Amino acid sequence: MNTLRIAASLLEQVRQNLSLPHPVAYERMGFVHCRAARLRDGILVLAETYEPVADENYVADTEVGGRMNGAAIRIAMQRSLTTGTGIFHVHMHDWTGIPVPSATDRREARKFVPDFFNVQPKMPHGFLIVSQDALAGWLWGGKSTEPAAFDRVEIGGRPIRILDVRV
Amino acid sequence: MSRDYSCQSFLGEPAGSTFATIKVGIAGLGGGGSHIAQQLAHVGIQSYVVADPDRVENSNLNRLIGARADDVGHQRSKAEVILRTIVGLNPTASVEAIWGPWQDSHVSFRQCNVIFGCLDSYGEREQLERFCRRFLIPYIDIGMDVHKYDDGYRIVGQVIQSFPNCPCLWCTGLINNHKLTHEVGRYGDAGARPQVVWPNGMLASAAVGLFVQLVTTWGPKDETRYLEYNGNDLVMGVSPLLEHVRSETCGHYASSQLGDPFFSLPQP
Repeated sequence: MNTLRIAASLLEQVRQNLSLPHPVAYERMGFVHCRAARLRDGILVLAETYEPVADENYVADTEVGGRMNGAAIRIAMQRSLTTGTGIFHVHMHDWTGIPVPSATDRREARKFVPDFFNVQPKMPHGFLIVSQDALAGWLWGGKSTEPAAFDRVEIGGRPIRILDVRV
Repeated sequence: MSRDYSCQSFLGEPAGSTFATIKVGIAGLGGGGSHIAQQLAHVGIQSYVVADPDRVENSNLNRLIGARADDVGHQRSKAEVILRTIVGLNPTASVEAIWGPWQDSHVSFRQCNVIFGCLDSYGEREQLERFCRRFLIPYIDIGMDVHKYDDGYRIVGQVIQSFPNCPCLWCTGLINNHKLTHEVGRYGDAGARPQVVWPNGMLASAAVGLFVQLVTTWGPKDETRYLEYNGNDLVMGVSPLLEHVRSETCGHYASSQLGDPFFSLPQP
């Protein structure tokens, strides 16, 4: 069972940043850097820090809610290389409930997530989608593997929340 | 027979689903841990990892909740006794009962959402809290001791809730280098590991209360909690030490110390 564990305070930091308006993008993006541990039946991904995509690294594109340039990805990869973390791209679906990735989300993630393994092949990478009250995600276990949805998301707040997020 | 939890519905709507899905760890199944396990089973927790390396001995029967006299003769492990206690109350509970030190089953403990530490030594507590910080797991520590003074024996104890990124046992002063350096196998001055059932019950009940507040919408939501027990006056209260650490940022555990330090995906 693949599990994502994140502190509620970090998740709130992500939500607040992704909720900010941007001059050319309809939705903001960022990267959650994570570490990992083996479970008996899967991988435990532990969210460590959040790094927003800088304002200047968005590209105006009316076809999608938001598009980042190559510099945004290079910055995230440099951080991963330096700190040894896995990279999880994150954006927001601004409604309630367990988020479900759109066809665009899935297609675009397949374009850049496998490249993260070039700098950090030992760690899982993937993407997350936060909603107003939940979180879901998908992880790659290798550059050439198919992504798998997290089975369980554990939000370490008060109260602790456990989400069954298989979608 | 399905259990009826209507008497605890005041804990809030999500409590039932949380109790059904949360996984709780208990390291140490003596006088404190056995009390906690029993109460969690009553509350309705369904998933456990419990560990203790000892068998039931005659000297444990004064405080080991759920133990029977024949457990001594049958040389049953404390883990077996706790398994029996939990399943006796919750037949559908999932219990990984480990006869051995918790460190031998660290992969199982990683999956827990809250861990109770009911350990005898400061060294083991330090290890367990460090483990919890590494895997972003809230940790609730209980401890009891009996000290000999000129005017007799005094029972003291504490319950501390240690939350990731918040003040830790080092911050509260429960653990320090002096204690770790000078710790010996003996615990207190009233003979080998003096323990009695009623202070353990007080401390375990407070610990379970903190746990329920942590996982439901009921009750205060402080991240760090430090309760002290004066067993001679039978009084439990908030430790005055808490005021000195509540607003501090813990500098003992770095956020970069998360996860398995040797983690590596299988390479093609």
